[in-house]
Amino acid sequence: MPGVPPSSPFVSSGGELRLTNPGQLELLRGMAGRGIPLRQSVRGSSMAPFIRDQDVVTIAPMNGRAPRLGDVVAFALPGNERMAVHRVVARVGAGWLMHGDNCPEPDGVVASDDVLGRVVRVERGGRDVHLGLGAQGAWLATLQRCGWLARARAAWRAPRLATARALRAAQGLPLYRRAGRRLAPHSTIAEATKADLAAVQRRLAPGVPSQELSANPGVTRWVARRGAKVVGFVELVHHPEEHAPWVGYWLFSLLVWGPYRGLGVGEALTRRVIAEAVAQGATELLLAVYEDDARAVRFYWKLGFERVTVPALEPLLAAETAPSGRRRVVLRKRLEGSAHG
Amino acid sequence: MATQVTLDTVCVPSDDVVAREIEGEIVIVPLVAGIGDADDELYTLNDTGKAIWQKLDGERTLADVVAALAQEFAASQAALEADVLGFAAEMTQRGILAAKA
Repeated sequence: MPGVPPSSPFVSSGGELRLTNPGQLELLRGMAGRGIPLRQSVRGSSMAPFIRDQDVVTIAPMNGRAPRLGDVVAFALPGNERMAVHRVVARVGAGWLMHGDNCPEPDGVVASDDVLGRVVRVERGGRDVHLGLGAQGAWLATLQRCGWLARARAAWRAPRLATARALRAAQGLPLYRRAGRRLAPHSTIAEATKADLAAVQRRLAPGVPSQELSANPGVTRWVARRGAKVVGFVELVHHPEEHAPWVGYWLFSLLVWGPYRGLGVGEALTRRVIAEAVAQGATELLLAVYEDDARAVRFYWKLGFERVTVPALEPLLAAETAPSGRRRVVLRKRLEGSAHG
Repeated sequence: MATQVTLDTVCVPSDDVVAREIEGEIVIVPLVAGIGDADDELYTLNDTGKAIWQKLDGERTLADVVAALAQEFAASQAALEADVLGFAAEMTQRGILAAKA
């Protein structure tokens, strides 16, 4: 609205406002009660490929119309105050059996009163997408009820999973790595912008609204880019004495997106962190890695990192081993080029 | 369009929004072509706005709202009037509130 700031002492508005799932349910109830359609984004991929994470759906109130087999409806999940947007796959007594197209199990039987609206439109990236209703919806509902949809999904995914597995295996081969480094275009390393950080967060936690990371003079973040695409991320964190026992210069969060592994991206990011640590006067650079992650341990070892014991950290690392069963260890690289070292 | 509200104005939620208290917040959803649009634009009222909003019953003038707030909050009359008028002016400018005819 021209002339009105997005937020003021009285009101907050804008894209940063997101309702929780129970909040969405409550809002939908209010809209349905007044017979008004609601347009809102949804999270998760339980209805993929028809509805994907962050798609915007328009939910029309039922207005007395009974759900039909194959409809995609918004409803309160049985037994809790959460909303789901799934397909009607069967009539069971006086209720409706709901099942997400991409879910292994049905949600259970939902009473008609708990069906708050049906999805009539899906938008993705500003464009309408096909929803699979009518005869197609009824057909999908039948397939789902018979368990054939899950089988079809598995068959559809199998080639992609096999490709991913083969790629992962190939990425460990010296030949692949040598050839990849020569033939693949080089990545560029740059300090991360806000947009880069949002891309990283989307990658790490799809569907979760990204939060702006607070600026901290002790933290420097870089991304690796192939063209305009972010393909890797790393942080250098300088913890002062009061952060004991995590004191000193630490390399954190080294990530390279799956398809770009084995091409030298991780090494380029790590070398950037090492150079910056040296420039900041560090005499050593530390990092923590899972002991059983042989590939990571070997990667860092080749770059000059060696396992060390930081006595003050041992109790913390031992404590975090208990729930996961995985033990992290500390690796250290002495920085001989340091002006102070 | 200039928005003119005075202490004699009775403000009501506009027909172009749906407001609902959700998880302790007043959430306001604008209607666009008859559809509640919670994706593009969603408003929540901050504490001051919420306190004022809850006094708007469709009958009270803004002066009545100030008087009602004065019984609950230890603030000067002038400060309360400034808040209520500022809120009403902003909300009408945003199309969230309308002056009752």
